[in-house]
Amino acid sequence: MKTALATLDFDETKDTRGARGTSAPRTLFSQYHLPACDRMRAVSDRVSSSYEWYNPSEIAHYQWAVIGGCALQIEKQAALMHNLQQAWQALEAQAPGLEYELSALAQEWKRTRQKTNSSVLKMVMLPAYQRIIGKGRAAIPFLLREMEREPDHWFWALNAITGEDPVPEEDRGDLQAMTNAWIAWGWQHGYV
Amino acid sequence: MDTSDFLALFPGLNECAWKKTSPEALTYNCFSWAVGDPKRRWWEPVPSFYWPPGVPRENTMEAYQQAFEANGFAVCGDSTLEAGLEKIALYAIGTEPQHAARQLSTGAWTSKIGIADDIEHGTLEALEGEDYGRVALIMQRQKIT
Repeated sequence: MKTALATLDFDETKDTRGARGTSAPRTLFSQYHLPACDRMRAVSDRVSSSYEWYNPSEIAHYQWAVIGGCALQIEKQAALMHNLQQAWQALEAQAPGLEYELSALAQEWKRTRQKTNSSVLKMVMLPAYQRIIGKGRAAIPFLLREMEREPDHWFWALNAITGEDPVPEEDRGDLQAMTNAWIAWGWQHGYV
Repeated sequence: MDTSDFLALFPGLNECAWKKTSPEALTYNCFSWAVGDPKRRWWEPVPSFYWPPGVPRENTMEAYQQAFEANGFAVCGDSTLEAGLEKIALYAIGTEPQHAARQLSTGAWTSKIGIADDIEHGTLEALEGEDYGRVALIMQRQKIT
């Protein structure tokens, strides 16, 4: 358990006696806006509110046990975010300003799509969306990162750029499952 | 969407009782909502989205009728509330389907509006207009209990 968390730099021995709450993990998890971290923050807050003065080693043991359940998921998600960031920085070095341009196009697309329209076919024909597709493979890390942040209809663009469709038959139409399939595809192909 | 946006887009809502019944969501669409399959989007005749097996992936009334038939619906004559039956209405502009609504046990209709909210509306006519065209098909199936 400690090994798994070593990279997260949790200082179990830190003497927080006298402090209210467990500042080390609270700070640690506040770095990540991920579901597992949100859960961990909630646990940490509950523990903090239960003890005014406490023995830090007891609290640490309790938290290690709880953290164990979340550790792998946190590491995996943190690694994904880290890899996405690295891939993005590499792209930025090749094409400065691309992030800003893609981000602006994505925002324009969301702003201009008609809210009463259910048809993805109509959404993807909007100029901003087509311009994102026009960026080709350079847009892939951005699109995967956008999907990870907020699932949306980027499947068409990814399909158009890559010619692939990694979504299993049984997951078609399920936005979250489709997003997960594309993120996994990104891992396999070195985009994240 | 705000109430004022709904009324501007669908002036017919001024003529009947209506209310918003959910927050905005991307995860399902009007067709999956009408059929009672709100965990996924279906309708889009594009490869990444669900479409009933064996039904042509075409943006035509015939294809949508078949898709609903695959889910137990059959064409019926009118939208009158009937005990034990669940009815849906398909809106179209020309021959191109645009929207679907499902009848509630009160006789009112429930619609998922695009990527916006779900609403409950007293009449089918309330949503007719520029965006969704006119009601082109009514179908029914035995109510699933």
